[in-house]
Amino acid sequence: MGIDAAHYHPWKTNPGGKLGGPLLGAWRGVAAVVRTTLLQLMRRKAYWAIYAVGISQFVVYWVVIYALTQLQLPSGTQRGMLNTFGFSIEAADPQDTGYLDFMEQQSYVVMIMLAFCGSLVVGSDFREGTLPFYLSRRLERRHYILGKLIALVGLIWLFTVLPALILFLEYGMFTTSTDYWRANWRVVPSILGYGTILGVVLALWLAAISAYLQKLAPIAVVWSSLFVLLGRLGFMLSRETGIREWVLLDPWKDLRLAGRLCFGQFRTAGDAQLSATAAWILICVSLVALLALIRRVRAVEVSA
Amino acid sequence: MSESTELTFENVTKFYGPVIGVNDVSLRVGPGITGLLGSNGAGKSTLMKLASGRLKPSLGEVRVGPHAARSSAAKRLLGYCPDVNAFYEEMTGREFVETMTRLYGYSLAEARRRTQTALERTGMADRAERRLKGCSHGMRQRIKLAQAIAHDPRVLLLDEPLTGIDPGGRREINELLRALAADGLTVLVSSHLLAEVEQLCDRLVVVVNGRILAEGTLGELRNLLNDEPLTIRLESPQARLAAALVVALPDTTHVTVRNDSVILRTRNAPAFFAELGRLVAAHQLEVRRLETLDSGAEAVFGYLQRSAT
Amino acid sequence: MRTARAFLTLWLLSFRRLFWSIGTPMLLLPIVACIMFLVRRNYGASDDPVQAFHAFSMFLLTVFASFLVPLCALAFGTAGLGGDREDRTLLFLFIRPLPRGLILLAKYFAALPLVLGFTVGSLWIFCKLAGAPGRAAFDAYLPATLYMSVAYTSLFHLFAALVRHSTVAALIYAVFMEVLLGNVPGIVKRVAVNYYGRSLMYDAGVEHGLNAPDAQWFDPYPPADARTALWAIAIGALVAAWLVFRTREYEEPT
Repeated sequence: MGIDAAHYHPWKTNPGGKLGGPLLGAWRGVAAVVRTTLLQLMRRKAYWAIYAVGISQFVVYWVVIYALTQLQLPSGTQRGMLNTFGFSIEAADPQDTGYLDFMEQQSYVVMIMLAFCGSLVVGSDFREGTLPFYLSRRLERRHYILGKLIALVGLIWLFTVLPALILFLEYGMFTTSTDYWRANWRVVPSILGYGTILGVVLALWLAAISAYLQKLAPIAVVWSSLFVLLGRLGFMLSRETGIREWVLLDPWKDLRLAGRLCFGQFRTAGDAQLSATAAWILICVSLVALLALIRRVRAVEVSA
Repeated sequence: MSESTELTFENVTKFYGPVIGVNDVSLRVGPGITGLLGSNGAGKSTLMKLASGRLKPSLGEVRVGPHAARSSAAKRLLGYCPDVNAFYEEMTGREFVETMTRLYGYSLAEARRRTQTALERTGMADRAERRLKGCSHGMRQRIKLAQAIAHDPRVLLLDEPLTGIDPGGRREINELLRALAADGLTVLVSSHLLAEVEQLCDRLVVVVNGRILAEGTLGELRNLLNDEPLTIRLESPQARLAAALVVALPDTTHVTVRNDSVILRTRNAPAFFAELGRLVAAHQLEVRRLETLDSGAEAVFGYLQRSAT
Repeated sequence: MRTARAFLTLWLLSFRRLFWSIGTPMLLLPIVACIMFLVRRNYGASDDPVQAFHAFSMFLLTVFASFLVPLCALAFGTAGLGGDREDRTLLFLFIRPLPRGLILLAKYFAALPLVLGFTVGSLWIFCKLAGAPGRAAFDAYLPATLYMSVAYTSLFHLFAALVRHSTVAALIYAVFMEVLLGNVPGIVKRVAVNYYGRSLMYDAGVEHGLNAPDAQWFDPYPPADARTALWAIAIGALVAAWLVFRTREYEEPT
């Protein structure tokens, strides 16, 4: 029997293969990993329960925008809502940070969703030994990693970028002209930029942690320690010692500062000064996470 | 010989929400080896789970001897080798079997003695110090079997027990199961490996769509199917003459000649064999070999399934 | 006698598996982070002992009681039973003659000493590192720590008995109920175990120099009632978990 009859695939992508040429084949391989990952997750009721919790915040913002644009509210009430939610009724107001605030406030639910996803879509590949199934196809390590990261970024966007863009559309639609969209068009690339930072950083960190810890409980312990504990410790150290840099212990704070670089808006001058350091912290930690992830996948590739 | 214990299903129905898993099943499984046959989703795993007390019947009753299957008393009489490939992976095979045996309340010394015996019987005594994480599928199957028999159960439930075991190992396991059955044990084996169930089991139970379609020995099941055509192979140097003679018989539906072989199908096997004897004598046919090709479990199962759908 | 021996075997098995699980070293990470914080902050070096006690108490209230105690309970409370569900090894326990109620209790009593060991142990270390304010704080806050640990462990066992992804459920509860609703002004915070624990801590800490909270934001529950509430949560959740676990079928249809 020839080797072809056994349906083994050559390791490298090759022109004329079933997946197409090297570039197209690789992309289709990545797309297959993304599709499988998303389907694997969306079949779970728990995911939709978390999504329902996550979307409740969106509903609140939706109602606020509706109220701001459609109702004649007393000026005090309107100002209070503006302060609370960060929106401005003036077109192209530089203080209009409602979308960024919304994305920031999704942090808790994104954290929980990612803890769940990490164990399910990355940890289980290592725990249940399904990674060799991917790697035995015409997929290489980089395709697998890229596919998983894109899927995780997509999930993060479903909770942050997508609802933020819908809110922006809603704001424009509820006004009588297209002035709001014209005046604030920079909001869209800003949302996408912040979303990309959020997605790439969180996906890399989560994939690396999940590849090593695999089970939900330890992932949840480490993940919540990173995003809740470090934030609190950083805040207390900063307040009690007077050294502002301690707030950079908080990964959310770093993400926010890096995100505000995209929006070009900072709450204080101090935030503007810290934003570059925050961006460097994110880049360094993300690189370490990427190297750790590659190393972990390589170990499985060798042992498989 | 020890006292025997029956496994009884009485009008058992099991619903999974709106889906019916098992539908009004009544069955008695006595000493000896009984095979549970059915395709995927037929309900045999549900029957196994009901028998082991992991599921509660929606209607009816499952008993192990005189005890309800979910009771502690029933579980003392029961050994169960599940189809799930899950273990406490960090343990060695010996630690796993010993821990599982201690959960019956045995002292450490007694549990160790029983573990050693069970590991020896399943051929794992010399490999039991390996961590389960590093064990092959076949070794894991044997460990599962060892934990099921270590406490000397009176009823043994085996869900796909031979999966992943090499042919030599299968022979050993079959011999072990036969020895247990000879000791009066009630053994219920669920398997997709029909050929092996056929060799191993005294009786077969066929499950289709959550119902018991047929039960009995293989011969009894075959007799249920007298109306089903039977495929027969006849080997003779006068194959062409033989083909011409059998094709003229009224119940013959299909004849093929290949070298010295005639393969034919008949709707009435007893009448065909009676007539064949007459033809052989009358035409002095030299018959080297005569065999039925589809009276095995696979064919019987196929017939039963077709007739049910 | 045989049932007692089987129960002890399962308790030991569960305890050993939890103790040697990856969750144990991972739980040390936040504790080490807190130790580093306390070393850096050095509350013992403060000239004003009352102010130092207040500042250290705020650390214990906002970090230890609000985050670490639920996290320890989550790590061991959901992993005991939830781990067996996740790994599909629960069936090996269900086919043994040990009654289901006892299986749950064995799991609970295996997790409880670990949760108490980590919470009380970390409180002791934190108090040692805090110096003088820590000595008063340990005695003052130990009862609240014990109550909260037991209540959280029971509650997370209930989650494990109820839902498959109990760690996620516990995380959602810890973040949304404990952190968010637990800090909302008014009576909404009564849904949080943490509220009753913090009420006990405020009551015990005030006499050592902990400033009373702003009643508009945090109106502490009377200590006797807070203790009763924590006992009720602990026992009620355990009984509910016991009832659910006894009757529920943990099987996928096949």
